[in-house]
Amino acid sequence: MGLNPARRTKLKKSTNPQISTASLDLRGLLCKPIVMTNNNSHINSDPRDLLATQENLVKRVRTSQRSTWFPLTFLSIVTFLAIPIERVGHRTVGNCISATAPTDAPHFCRIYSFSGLFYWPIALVIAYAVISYFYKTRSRELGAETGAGKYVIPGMVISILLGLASYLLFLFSSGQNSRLEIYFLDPSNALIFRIISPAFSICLALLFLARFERNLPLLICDVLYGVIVLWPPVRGIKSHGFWSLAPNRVIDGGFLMLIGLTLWLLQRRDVKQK
Amino acid sequence: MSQHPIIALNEIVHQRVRLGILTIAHETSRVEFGYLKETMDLTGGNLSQHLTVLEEAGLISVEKGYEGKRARTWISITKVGRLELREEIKQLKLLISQIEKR
Repeated sequence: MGLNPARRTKLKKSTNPQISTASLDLRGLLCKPIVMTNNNSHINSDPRDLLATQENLVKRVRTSQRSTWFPLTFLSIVTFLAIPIERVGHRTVGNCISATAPTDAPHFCRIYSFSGLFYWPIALVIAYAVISYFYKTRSRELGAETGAGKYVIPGMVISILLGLASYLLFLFSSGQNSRLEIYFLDPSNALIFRIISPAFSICLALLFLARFERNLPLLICDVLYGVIVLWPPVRGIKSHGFWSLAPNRVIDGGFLMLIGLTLWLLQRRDVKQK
Repeated sequence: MSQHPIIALNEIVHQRVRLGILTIAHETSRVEFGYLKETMDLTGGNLSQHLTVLEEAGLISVEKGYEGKRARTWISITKVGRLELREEIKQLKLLISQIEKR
């Protein structure tokens, strides 16, 4: 099966490309686009397929945009930095009296980190500003720009509000023998201190980050972090004296660092799989 | 009697690549041409044509500029684009539910 030798010579000698391509086309030897179009909606327009593709793209974009390790690592550094600051600036508030009045009852003293009252709101607001800048820069480099406002703004607001609440409690409960002081000296009422603590403000803000990044592993880790922050057996780990707050800060900071590292590894695995 | 979801589909949005572009743009405040090209595995020419169609329909806005010496093209979804995308997803889900009912 072949071309007529005379015809082959004619084709070879032909200098007009249109003639040669036309003759190749006739023999089915040439593939060339007949027309270019944007309107290829007939290809894969099955609604299930389209929706699956759309959902897959959403997941891919969200995964590529995630930078969860950065806020977690940064906040853990902020937590570790609080240890020396609280060590220097802590003080006992009010009298060391019993909440239940009898003189032979155990006595409780409330130790308040005065410098912590100022350190935490300022440090957290700066931390959220740095995190926002990081997200902006990183997403710009990636090519899929996004602002972290949905996490950073609630984070700042929570830090300021809880910092303010903490300061007000300090002011109103430090009057000698005030009712409020007796109320807070009772260890069973310590929950409120855990709720207004900076660690819990970080925990609340991380809920917004989990929502912003649609990050289920982060949500699970944050719930665990919340348990650590609020659960009395863990919060009860304390040393005495000047370093009284240090064990809690080590636990909080260490856990944040651990979550950051775990999520970074998970994200690397996801990116490699895709 | 309500109209069949297939009639409510927007022909411009109801196209695999264009739906993908709108979806990615919706997840970002703005997206770079190179990111779209890589994520959707398209050639530059093909992507440009789809972007032109979407821009002409007012579903996206295209912004060209430089970052250092590098030319960059940024795409962001418009308000109309968001509405159209939401509508498309709604109609697709409706269509699927109608198919599954049969």
